Amino acid sequence: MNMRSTPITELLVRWNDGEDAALELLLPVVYDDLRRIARRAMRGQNSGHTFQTTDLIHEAYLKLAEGQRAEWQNRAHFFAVAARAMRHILVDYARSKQSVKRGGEARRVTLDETLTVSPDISGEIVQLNLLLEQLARIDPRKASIVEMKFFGGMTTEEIAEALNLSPKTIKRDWRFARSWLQRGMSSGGGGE
Amino acid sequence: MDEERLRRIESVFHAVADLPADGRESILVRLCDGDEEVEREVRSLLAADKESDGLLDRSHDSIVRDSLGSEARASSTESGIQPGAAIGQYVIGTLVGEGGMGQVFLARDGRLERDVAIKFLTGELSADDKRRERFFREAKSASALNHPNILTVHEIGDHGDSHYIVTEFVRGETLKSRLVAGRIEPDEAIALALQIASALAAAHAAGIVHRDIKPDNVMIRDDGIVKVLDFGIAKLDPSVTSDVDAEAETRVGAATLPGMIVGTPQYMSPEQARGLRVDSRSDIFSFGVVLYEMLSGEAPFRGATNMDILGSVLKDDPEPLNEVIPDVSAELARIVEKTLRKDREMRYQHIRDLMIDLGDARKTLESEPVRRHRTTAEITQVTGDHAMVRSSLPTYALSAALVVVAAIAGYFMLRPAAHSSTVSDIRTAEVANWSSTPGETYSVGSLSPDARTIAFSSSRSGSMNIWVKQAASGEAVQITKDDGGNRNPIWSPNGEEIAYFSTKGGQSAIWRIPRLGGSAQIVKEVPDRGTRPRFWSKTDRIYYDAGGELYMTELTSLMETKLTELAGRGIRPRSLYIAPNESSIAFIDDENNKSAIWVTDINKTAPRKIFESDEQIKNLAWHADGNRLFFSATDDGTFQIFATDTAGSEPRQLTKTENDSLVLDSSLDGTKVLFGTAKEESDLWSVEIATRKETAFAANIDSEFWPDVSPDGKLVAYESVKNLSQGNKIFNGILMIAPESGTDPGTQLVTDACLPKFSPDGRTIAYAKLVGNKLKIETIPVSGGNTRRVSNDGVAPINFTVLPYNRINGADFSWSPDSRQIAYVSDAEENANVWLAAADGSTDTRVTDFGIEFAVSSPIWSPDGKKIAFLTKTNNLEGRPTFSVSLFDVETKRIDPIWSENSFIRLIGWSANGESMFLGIVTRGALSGMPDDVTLSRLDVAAKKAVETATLPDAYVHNMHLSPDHQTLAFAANRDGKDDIWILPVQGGAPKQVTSNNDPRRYFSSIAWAPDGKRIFFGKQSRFSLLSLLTNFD
Repeated sequence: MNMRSTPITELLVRWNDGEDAALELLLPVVYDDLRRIARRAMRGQNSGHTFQTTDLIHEAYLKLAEGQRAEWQNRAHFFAVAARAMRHILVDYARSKQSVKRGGEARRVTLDETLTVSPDISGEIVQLNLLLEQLARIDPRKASIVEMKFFGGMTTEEIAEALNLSPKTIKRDWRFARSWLQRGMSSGGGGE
Repeated sequence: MDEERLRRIESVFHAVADLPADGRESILVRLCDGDEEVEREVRSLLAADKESDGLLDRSHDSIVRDSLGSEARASSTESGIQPGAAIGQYVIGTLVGEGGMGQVFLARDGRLERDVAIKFLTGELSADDKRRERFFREAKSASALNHPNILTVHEIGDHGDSHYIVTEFVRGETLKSRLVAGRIEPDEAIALALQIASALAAAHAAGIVHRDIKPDNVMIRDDGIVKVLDFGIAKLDPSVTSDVDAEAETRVGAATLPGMIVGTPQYMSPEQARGLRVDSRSDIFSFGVVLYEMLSGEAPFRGATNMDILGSVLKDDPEPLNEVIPDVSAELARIVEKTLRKDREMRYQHIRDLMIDLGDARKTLESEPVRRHRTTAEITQVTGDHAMVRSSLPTYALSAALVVVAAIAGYFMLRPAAHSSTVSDIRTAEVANWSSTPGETYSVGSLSPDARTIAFSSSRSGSMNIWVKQAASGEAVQITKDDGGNRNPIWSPNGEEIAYFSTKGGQSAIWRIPRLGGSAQIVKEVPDRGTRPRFWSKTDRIYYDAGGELYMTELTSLMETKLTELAGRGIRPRSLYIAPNESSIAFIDDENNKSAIWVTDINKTAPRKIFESDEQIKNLAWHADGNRLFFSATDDGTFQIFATDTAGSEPRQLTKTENDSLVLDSSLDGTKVLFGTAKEESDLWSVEIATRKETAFAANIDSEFWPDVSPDGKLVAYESVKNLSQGNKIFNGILMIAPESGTDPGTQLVTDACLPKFSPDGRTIAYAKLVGNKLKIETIPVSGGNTRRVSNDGVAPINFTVLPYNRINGADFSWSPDSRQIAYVSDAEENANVWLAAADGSTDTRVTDFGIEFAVSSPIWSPDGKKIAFLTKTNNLEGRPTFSVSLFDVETKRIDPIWSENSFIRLIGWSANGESMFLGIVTRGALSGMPDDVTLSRLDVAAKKAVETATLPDAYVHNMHLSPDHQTLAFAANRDGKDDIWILPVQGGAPKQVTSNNDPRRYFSSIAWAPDGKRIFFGKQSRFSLLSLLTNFD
């Protein structure tokens, strides 16, 4: 994909118009940087600093938005894209951990299943992602809100700004979506 | 569900969500207006609305942190509580103690007008849900103990983010400080001992084991009343990692080392010292040590270091007390001796019996008036002195003044139901045993329909084949004899045939063979996705588990049915099991650091979780009734067998074996359970090449392996693991460092670590440290001290063969010749690549860029430090592997592939001049850890050509190592059925045998050269496999 042929502004407009795929096209703009910054942040944490992912996204925003200020309508828009990117990063990472655990990749020669060490929350992340995909099919707005809040760490106000809705609506939607997802998580399923 | 339904559900949900519970019900029913689906949905959503501790409620930071696998965590022992603060009804007084678990304050209970001790847990413990939960569970069971000799717990509570425990405040001194004044006269010692015993008797009756009885944990109040403290507190020390690691909890170590615990070596029972389960009899041993010390003034087991003390606990019989102290009667000496027997079966079995004997001994004392008179006088004097000391220097002894109860070994949330048989009623009978062969892990077996015969897979003949044996007697008979890796035998319903999975002749299939052997026939070709036949029904169906789903094949039509659709639900279970009723299905799944058993059925009913545990669950077998289930789960780090049912009743523990017990099958009449166990031994030896003289270097009860010799030849670093029986603890070893002479077991450097490697300058040791679920590279100075994290992310999976323990490829990370950098393989960015890290931790950079289709391994620096050689493996479309050797130029960053081969390659090392590399190439073999035919080749780096220099039949390709001068290769090989170490010049020539092994069941692992090239260190390992039947468990 060549980013020059699809300017950020145009993509943002298309996304505002409800074309979810446009958000996917925006991802490459932030994805690599987020990953790199996340990695560095984790390193910083090893040396004793407290890790703040919102700082991480903020930093990516400053860097990316600097030369292209006109193109991003506002911070909230950027955050929405970053949230999708974070979702990809976290879910991909969780999936890869899961496949390591299951010995799903041919390159891992495991002689005894007890030798692999179990992952932490990767299973739940993958499950949540599945449920979120289901939610997006019946209620895309709620799925977006969850994505921004859960994967993007955005505040209610930021989400409201990005989606052009009132904070009250965001809160209400989140509460219902949270219950809906929580129920799915507790029952261990990814189905209805 | 469509959007419209969802809107309706949502509107009802919001309408009632914030209503008070009593008013909500009627409004909910009215709003739903008879629409049952909406009502059901809303109810379940309201329930979910209340659950507030799930993934969705965690902070974004913690999600990202935990997802990306960072482990650093804010930690503090500061409770932030200041004297003078009011917490509930308590006013905080002075800080009287600070321990691993938190701070203890003297406090005033304003409501009840009494002094109390209040302990605040550290932030770290408070922040860790699992441990906090365990802490409270145990604290609560302790608080239920109401006994005059047990410190009373008043309250457990929360204050903001921290948690506290309030206990009785005791003014007095500890038995430890009392013993500083010297030994205690027999009648007073007995009086104190009886009170301690009485506390233990009460705890044992409640199913609680103390685990750490020692003089520090016994308070003597000013009025002479004894209070026993700290039930099981060692279990909860925050330096113990929060991961399930029951073994570490009893592991001994210097309390100063991170990740170490604790137990007090002098007072530890032999079983505790060995890292085995402890039970009430372990308390009896520790009690005996305390009694011995009270009577003699000296601890019975002594030594300069913790290791020496432990050695003494394991080996020495203390001098009989009546020979040390003439005052002590032979009767009392005999009582003490009976508490201190190494074998717990031979000890006092119940503290009550001990109390009766002690009481008798006291009466005997009293009937000797002369002695009594004298001792009473002395006691008066001694206690008088102490009363003075105490009043001038009140000892609060509260650093540990709270009682927390250990979940007893063997009963982690598994309290036996009232009707059930106890472990002691249950019988086990051995059915088959053998010394294992290289590469052999657990055998998998099944019972014939009449339960008189077992079929099992074993590699005891050299390759994995199916064996059959009468349960009652006779020899095992090998019924398949090929190299198909035949496994998971199951019986036909008439008991005449056995089906199993095999990849014989490259054809992956389920096969059948007559029970007495004969010609095998293919039942059905099935791909090998961990395929495991499970059950052959009377209706002639074979059920099997493959790739996380359960399948069934009809033998008549060969029609295959997929019975589960779990992947669609996001579940990929580790293993699945069909019940003999051909309807119920159970599976084991790991999620979020927990193992769980789920049940579903062939109608694809939504799976139901019936049991979940922080412990590991492995293997399961259905009871014939289709209702009960047997499974194996860890209990203090060792797999034991449990029984539960589909209603999710609390599991009942059926075994308490010292080594892992893994359930394999259950008989069709429901009376027998087949299970496998194994016992391993692994020691380190060295051999002098010139004289072929072998010397034990580290040969104690633990397993030692993976040595590395310091560049000056004076020290050897190695790994030590307790109770190793299946390789599952290999990453949790203790790194030891010891003089090469082997006269001193050495000192502990690090825990939860493996693979020590000295830096070329001899100052530092690098090793892989298990952090969370990743192995990270750290360094530590040879003299001990601060560890330093070198790799930010994990080292790509380190794999090893199981018998003997050899690292696959064996070059997971390597030091640069100048000791400044470490090259290693990491999959930090999803794909495995070579990374370069500065040894001081300052930089860590990925230097190759291979995709997911490549396995990368074995980075090795050239002698001049300018290049790093490494190995890649990739599969072509047909699944055939290609192994390639590549060079990375440290200066130009260029990567240059220099040679490829379709056979397995092991990169052994460089020539001294850096012009060529030595490769071990497997020409025949299964790479399972069994000896293979290997050729040694010299790869000319400039010409990119390899020349074969020697053929090494039956050699262990994973255990070949170059001498320090790069002129000689040492390797382990199995010739004439015995493992030995051989050497040969790298340029070719005849191999020369350097060891003289005469035990065909001892396997040689992990060679390490001494720097002068005159001596070789190596491991000797053996393993004994056992299949047994469990009966009388109902």
